[in-house]
Amino acid sequence: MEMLIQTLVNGVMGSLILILIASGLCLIFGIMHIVNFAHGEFYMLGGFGAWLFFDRQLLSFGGPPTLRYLWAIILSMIFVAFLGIIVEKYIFRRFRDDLKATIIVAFGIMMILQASALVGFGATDKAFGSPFSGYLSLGAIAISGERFAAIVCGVVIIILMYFFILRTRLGKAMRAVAQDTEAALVQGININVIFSLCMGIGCALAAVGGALVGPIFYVNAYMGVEPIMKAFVVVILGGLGSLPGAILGGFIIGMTESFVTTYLGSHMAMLAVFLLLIAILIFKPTGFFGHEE
Amino acid sequence: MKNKSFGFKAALVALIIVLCFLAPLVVKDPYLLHIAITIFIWSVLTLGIRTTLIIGHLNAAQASFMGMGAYFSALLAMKLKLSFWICLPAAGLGAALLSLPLGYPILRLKGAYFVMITFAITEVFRHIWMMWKSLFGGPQGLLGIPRPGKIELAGLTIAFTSKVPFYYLALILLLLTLLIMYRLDRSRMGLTMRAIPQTELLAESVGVPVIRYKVMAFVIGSFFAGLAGSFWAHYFTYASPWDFTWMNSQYMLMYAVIGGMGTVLGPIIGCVVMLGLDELFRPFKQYMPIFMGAVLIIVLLYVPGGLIALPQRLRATFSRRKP
Repeated sequence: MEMLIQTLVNGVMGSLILILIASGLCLIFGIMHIVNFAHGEFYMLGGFGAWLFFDRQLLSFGGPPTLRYLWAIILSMIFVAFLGIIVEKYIFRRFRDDLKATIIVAFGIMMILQASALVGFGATDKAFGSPFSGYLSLGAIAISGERFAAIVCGVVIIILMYFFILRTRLGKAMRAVAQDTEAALVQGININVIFSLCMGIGCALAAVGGALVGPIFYVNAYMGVEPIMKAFVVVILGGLGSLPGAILGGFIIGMTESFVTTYLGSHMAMLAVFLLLIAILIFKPTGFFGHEE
Repeated sequence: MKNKSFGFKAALVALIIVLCFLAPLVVKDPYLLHIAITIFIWSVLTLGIRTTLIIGHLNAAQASFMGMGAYFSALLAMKLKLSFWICLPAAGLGAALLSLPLGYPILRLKGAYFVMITFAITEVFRHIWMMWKSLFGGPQGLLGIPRPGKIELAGLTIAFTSKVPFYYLALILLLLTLLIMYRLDRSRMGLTMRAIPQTELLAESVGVPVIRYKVMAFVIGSFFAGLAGSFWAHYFTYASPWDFTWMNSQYMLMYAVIGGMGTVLGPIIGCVVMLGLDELFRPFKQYMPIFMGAVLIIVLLYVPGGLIALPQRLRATFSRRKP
C-alpha cells in the first residue's frame, strides 16, 4: 500500500514535469511549426540556472531557503526564456516553414548547448542543498518537501499558462497565429512578437521543469536527453500541437513510467513507453486531440 | 563544357582512389590507418542514410540497423562459428530483411512523425539489447567477437592481424557502396526517388508506387548499415548497445547535410572533413560538438547544398560582385 502511494506520488511528479516540457514543445510546434529537438537542453539549462542562483547564490538576496529557491526558479526562467528568444530570432526564424531544416538545425543547437554546459559547468553531477526541510506526512506515507513543492509549482504554472492562453489578449493572438498565420497577420497581429513570446514561454516552461527536478535528483549536462524523448512521446500521444492533449498524455506516460519502473524495472518502463509511441504512430498518428494537417 | 568538367571530376576521383590504395605503402602508423578506417565506415553509413534523405525522410534509426548488423554478424560468428566472409553479407541482408516489414508502416509517416518513430525504434532495440543478457550480453555488450579469418588470394595469404587488411577491406566496402549508390542515382529508380519529396501527390497520381520506392530506399540504406555494423563488430571485436544510439544517427545526418546530399560524393566529403577535424582537434575534444553544431547551422544558412556545392556557390557570389 505504501509502495503504491509512493509510486503514485512519483508518477504525479514525473507527469507534471513531463507536462511542463511537453506544453512548451506543443506551443512551439503549434504556433511556429518548429520541432524543437533542443528543448531538453533548455530544461537542462533551467536546472543549471536554479543551481547557480540557489546553490551558488548568484544574484541572491539571502533570506529563508524556500524564498531563495523560488527566486532562483524565477531568475532561471527569465534567463532561459531570453536564450530561447535569441535562438528563435537568429536561427530558427531563418528556416521558417522548412520542417526538415529546422529539425536538423535543432540537432545542431542541441549539440552546442549541451557541450557548452559541459564545458562551462563540468562533467560532474551537481547536487543541490535542499531548499526545504522536513516532510509532509499523510498517515503512514511521507512526501519530501521537494517533491511536494514540485507538484504544487507544476500545477500552479500549468494553470497560469492556461489562463494566459485562454483569457488574455496576447494568448488570444497566439491562438489566432496557431490557427492561421496569414489570417492573423491580416488582422494586424505582429507575428514576430508572437513567435518570440511563444518561444520564450515554451523555454521558460522547460526551465521550470529543470529547476524543480534539480533538488530532487541532480543537475548535469545530459539531463535533458531522456526527458525530451519522453516529452515527444507525450506530445504525439496527445496530438502534436494540442495543449489538453499534452496534459492527458503527460499523465498517461508519467504514470505508466512510474508504475512499470517500480514493478518491472526501468528498461521495461522505457520499452513500454516507446512501444506505446510506435503503436500510436502506426494506428493513430494524430493522437487524442490532434487533427490532420 | 559540361563534359569537360565531368571528365575533370572523374579524373580527380580516380586519382584519389588510387592514392587511397597506395597510402598504406607509405603510411605505417596504425593510428592514422585507424582514422582512415573510421572515416570509410562512417562514409558507408552516411551514404546509406542519404537514400532515405533523398526520399524526404530524416532517418534516426540508421545506427540501430548498424547495431542489428553488428549483433547479427557477431552471433553468427560466435554461436554458429560461421566465417566472417559469410557473416558480412548476411548481416547486410539481415538488416535489410528487418527493415522491409518495418518500412511499410513507418514510411507512411512524414516529417516529425517519421523522425519520432525511428527514434522510438532505436530506443526499443537498445533496451532489448540491454535487457536480453543471455543473447546480446546486456549493457556491456558482446565481447570477443572473432576477427576475420585468413584468406588466400592468388598465392597471397592475408591475415587480419594488423590494420592494413582492415584498411583495404573498408576501402573496398566504401568503393562498392559508392559504385552502387552512383548507379542508383543515375537509374530510373533513383530519379523517381528524387521526385518523390518534391511532388508526392503528382508522382502517385501518374502511377508511381510511392510507398514501394520509399521502402526500397529505406531497405537499401539499412543494408549498408548492416554491412558497416558487421565490419565494425569484427574490427573492434566487441559490440555494445552504447555504440548504436540515436546520437550516432544524428551524426550521420549531420555529415550528410554538411557534405551535401545532392551527389554521392557529398556525404563522403562531409565525413572526411568533419571526422578529420574531429581528430585534428583531439585536445579540444569537449569543444568539438560546439564547433560541429556551429558548422552545421552555418552550412544550412549559407550553403544549403552542402560543402560539395561550395565552389559553385563561391563562383556565383564572386561573378555577381563583378561590375
